[in-house]
Amino acid sequence: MRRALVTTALLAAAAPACGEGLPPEERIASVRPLAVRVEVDEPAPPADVGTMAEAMPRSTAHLRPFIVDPYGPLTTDRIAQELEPVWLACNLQPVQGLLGCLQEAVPLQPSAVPACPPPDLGGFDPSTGMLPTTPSPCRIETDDPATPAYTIPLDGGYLVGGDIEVTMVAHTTATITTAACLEQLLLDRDPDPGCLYVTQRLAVGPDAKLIELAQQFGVPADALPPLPDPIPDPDRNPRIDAVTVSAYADETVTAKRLLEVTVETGDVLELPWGARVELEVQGHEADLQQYVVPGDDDSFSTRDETFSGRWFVTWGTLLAPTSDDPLAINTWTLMPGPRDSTDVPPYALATLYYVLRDDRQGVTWTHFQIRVTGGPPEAP
Amino acid sequence: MPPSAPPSATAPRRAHLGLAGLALAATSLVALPRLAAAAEPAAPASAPDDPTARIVPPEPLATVTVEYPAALAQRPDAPRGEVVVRFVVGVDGVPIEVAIEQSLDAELDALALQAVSALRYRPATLDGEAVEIATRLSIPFEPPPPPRPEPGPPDDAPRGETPGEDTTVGDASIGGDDDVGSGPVRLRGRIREAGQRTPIEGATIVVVPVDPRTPTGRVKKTDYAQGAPPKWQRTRRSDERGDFVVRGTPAERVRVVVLAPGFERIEYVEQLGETTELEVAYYLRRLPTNPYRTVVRSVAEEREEVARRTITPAEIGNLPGTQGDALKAIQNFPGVARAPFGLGLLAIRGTGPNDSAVFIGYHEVPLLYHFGGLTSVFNADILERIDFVPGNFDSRYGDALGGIIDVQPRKGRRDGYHGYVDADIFDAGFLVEGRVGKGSFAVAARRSYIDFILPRVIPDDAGVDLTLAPRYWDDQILFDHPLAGGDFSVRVFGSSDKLKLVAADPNEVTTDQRDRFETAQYFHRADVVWRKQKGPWEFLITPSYRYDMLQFGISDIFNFDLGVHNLTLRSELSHRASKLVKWRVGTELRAGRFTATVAAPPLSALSGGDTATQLQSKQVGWLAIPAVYTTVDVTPGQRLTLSPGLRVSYFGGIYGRASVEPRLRGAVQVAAKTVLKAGVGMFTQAAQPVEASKVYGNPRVGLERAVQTSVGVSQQLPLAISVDATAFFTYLYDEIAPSTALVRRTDGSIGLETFANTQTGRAYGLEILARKQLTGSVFGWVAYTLNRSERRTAPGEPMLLADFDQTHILTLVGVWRLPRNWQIGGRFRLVSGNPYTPTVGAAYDASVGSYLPIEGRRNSARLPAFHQLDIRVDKAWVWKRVKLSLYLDVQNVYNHQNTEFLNPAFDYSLNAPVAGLPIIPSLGTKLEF
Repeated sequence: MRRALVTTALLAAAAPACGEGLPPEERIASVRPLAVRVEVDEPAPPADVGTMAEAMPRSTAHLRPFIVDPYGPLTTDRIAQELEPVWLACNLQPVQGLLGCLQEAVPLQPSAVPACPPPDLGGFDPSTGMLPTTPSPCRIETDDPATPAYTIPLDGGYLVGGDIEVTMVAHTTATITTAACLEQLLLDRDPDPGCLYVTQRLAVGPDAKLIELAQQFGVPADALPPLPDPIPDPDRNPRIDAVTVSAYADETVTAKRLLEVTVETGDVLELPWGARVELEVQGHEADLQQYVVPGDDDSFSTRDETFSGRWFVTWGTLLAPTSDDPLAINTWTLMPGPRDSTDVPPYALATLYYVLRDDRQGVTWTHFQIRVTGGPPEAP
Repeated sequence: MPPSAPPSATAPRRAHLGLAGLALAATSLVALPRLAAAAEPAAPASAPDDPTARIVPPEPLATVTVEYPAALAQRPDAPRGEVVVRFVVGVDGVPIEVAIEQSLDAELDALALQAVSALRYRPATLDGEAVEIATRLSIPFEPPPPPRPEPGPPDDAPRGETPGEDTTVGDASIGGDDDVGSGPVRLRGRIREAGQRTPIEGATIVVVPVDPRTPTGRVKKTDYAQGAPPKWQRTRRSDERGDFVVRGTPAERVRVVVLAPGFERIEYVEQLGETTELEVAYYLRRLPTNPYRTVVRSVAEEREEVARRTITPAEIGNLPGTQGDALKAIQNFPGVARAPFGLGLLAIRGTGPNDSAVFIGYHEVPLLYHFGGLTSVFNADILERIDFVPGNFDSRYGDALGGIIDVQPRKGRRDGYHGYVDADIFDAGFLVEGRVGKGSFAVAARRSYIDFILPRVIPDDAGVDLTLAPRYWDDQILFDHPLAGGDFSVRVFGSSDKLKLVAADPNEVTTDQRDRFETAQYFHRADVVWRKQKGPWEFLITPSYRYDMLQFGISDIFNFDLGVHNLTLRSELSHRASKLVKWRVGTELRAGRFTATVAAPPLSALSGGDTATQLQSKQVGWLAIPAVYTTVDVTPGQRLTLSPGLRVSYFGGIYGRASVEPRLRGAVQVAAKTVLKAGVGMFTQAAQPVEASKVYGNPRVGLERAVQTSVGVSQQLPLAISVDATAFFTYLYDEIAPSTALVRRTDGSIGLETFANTQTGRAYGLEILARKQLTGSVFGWVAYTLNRSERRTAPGEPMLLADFDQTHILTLVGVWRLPRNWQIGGRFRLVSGNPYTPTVGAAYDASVGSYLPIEGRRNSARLPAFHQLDIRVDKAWVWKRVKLSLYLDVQNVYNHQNTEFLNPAFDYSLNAPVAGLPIIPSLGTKLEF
């Protein structure tokens, strides 16, 4: 095999290091989406587990976006009124990448995108050998555009490993509308900078339960992938146990400790300018699940979920932008960073966001704010 | 006495070779720079790039002894001096047209004519064909001294009366021990090349008396004023060992003058003793105008493609901007796209880097460079030459759509034991070579020391733990020996690259597999080669075994482990049926067994897919690709040569495909120094294993194909300058492109097709190369390419620019050899920027927390043009036994910030240009012996 692949990979690995002059990802300077959590209704959820992030056909999934700006997270009202989102659902083929479904469908007139129909198994006859299909893409009709609910239909593609690509289309500026943004996306035109597109994989499964469902509908077993044994639990959203904040007067190791508290989401602390804030976020380790991945010889191998955390701030400097330990630690210094245009945060409020993901579709987040008192020392 | 006269040009049917001295029994050759300008190509349809390198001089088969006539010796004025005979060595090895060019005495002239006529040679050849060669021979005659009852100091007799010595033609006793009553040995010496210790055969040593007040030692300033003739003079010639002996001179102070073609003249004043022998060793520095030392003969391929560029190690070693890397030198030729960051990617005539093949010694090698481009894996100093064929290559080569680089290792030197130790900013290496019986060996190795330096300079808080700092090494072992009338070679070589680093954020409590990046590549190959030429027949058989290993790991989501055992067997039979027809038939079998263990997300999932759907695969498979090929060279007229060829291959194992590739080349010599060439042919290439993988790819993919056409003109100009212009057009079809179609896969499941043979494309352009050969003190070239390369990924899709499309590629290379072993070279490049796909927007992938680019039209934008100047300065110090070279290679002298690619912001709202290599001075040194 000729080895240009290795050279290309080495270059790609080095590319992120060449980021001089680019805005840092951990800095929130405008309206930005950070996550979309899928929460599937469960008639009888087990005790002490996170919400389910994986949906079977005919179950209902709630989509909860986490969108923030430099002043704090957007409430559902603001999302609905200011961003005016619309949601599309598109059936992803097995192992297809996100946006792949929509990109394959475009160009498409917005008027040609039907509303997503409710699940209907009335006309399904497994003896024909034809699996049911649903229109793709389709528009999720909802009265709550900020947190829509979507009832999963039955589509033959799910039975062979497909999922659903849900895409939120919205606008962040007054210079353009959501309808125009939708038109640009569907007609494959260059999008306006004021358009906001957020896509999330809505996992349909677990795959093993889908296979069982297909068998119930009479699909022959030899036409289906093998079943793992035991059948794994559905994917769930992780939880955060606690967020602990310790603050010190300055950056020196001998600095006086100002406080040490456990904060809840949305809390506001008060600290002086220049303080060093030590952060600890404890993920709920029991939420890390085991799952299986198929091999090429009908075998399965087991993998353990791991945490992946990302930190964001609206002002100040972070020691690092990510953490992948169950106990994620970081340091936030209340002094202006290289991208801060003001010596003190706007309205004296600086916000920290933390998003915690597992290896699959599970996600959760938290945030708190610091009211920064005082300012930089005056020059002598 | 000066050496024999220099050569001159005559009729086209003959080549000329000047022989210095009488060394008819010797087998060493001296290639004379002026011959390159004077010689005419013997075969009308060949492109005479460097006729010097293709001429094999005649080899004497026996020696002839001439005795000084006794009657003549008794004359008081017995003639002494040189008779120069001019003659032609015929195609049967018999001298013809023998004539006196410089007369001495009628009787001695007749003896000289008789002696030369009695000589017999293995005839000279040009491109394997016997040719007549005009030459001359200088025969010194010295009357023998009268016999003495006992050895003693001779009288200080005037010239003509002092007893002389036998002079034999072709006798190794010349310059060596001569005990035929010629007096006591006064001076015994050896002549060697400075810095190499190589014997210089055929050097002229003239000994004359000098004023006793003259200080002994080296004479720095030679007085060429005509004075009184010396009272006596002795003239000797060094033998094949470089030795000489001077007998029967007065025991007094003498001046010793040593002359040899291509070397500096030296003079010493010595004191000869009454009762003692003086032993001396003289080291002559090679003149800059004579870069060639003893050349080990080999027969170059005579088949000429439309555009075949040949570069020799002498040219390679000092090219600026390439760190002496042979294979990177290829990138300076037309038709080769500029690779980013100076990497070793070879994108030839609009095809991709994976579409061309590199052969070292008849077999393909898997990788060329350490870590993709630092330095090549094969030491350039043990290469005989590199042939670069950008298209329409011979049927001998297959499984490639682009071009061919054919590298031939050379034999080890047999003129003593030689070698060197060298070092630069990346690595250090050595080479040792010498004689083994009738054969030779060469051993070379190199190892990097970046792994020693980097961990000591990278700060501890940099967040990078070089668990295994990048390190590489390579080795080559060559052995050659005559066998059964042919040449037998064993070659073992290989390389290894390794890197492992763990990059953790400063806030991480523990580092783990998710923070790692590692790669390891290794291969080793063992070849056996046997070649024999017997009259019109030529035989070649060469089996080879190679083991490859490739490991690659990124975080805990991608692991790749590949091991391949390869066996290749090539055999060829060539026959020159007549003056008009020569044919070659060959077979090539490539077989391999591979084991690949992969754990990775599906390829499409790398861009926003579900990383939980990771595919794990262990595949064991095999490949067998037998091929039969033939090329016939037909010369229906003196000026026209047609070379139809055919290659038939079967790609077995995981492929199960066959190909038939007809090819045709032709050349017409329209004028004495002008050749027109054209070529057309079909070429196929198998899919990359990952593309045909049943897990990650599509086992149904077929062969990729191309039809290449080219037409060119080659013009030889005076002063060893040549100009080549070639126009080419390549049509590519059945190329493999990504596919998102949903199909029923071979295992019965429904899934993405992943890859399909839906892509078509075209590449066309014009290449111009004006080149000054390495003769004299300057060489270089100007290369310009105008081209366009386009692809259509599937029917109905638009035709768009290919990734490596570079409209204009201009390269100027020049190297000047200055006095006192200085050399300076420069390279300037001006190249169109690479095309890229602009990002017009982005969507946030909430599944993984990063943005997905929304791309515009593929390759619809272009980076700024690239331009860069590299300069290299070399200086060598030549002492008697060693030579020390030092070079300073400065890349990007004026530090131009060439944009190699655009690094996007995390949300693709901005782009930051990433510049290529800045000004980089690189120092290197080499100590040769």
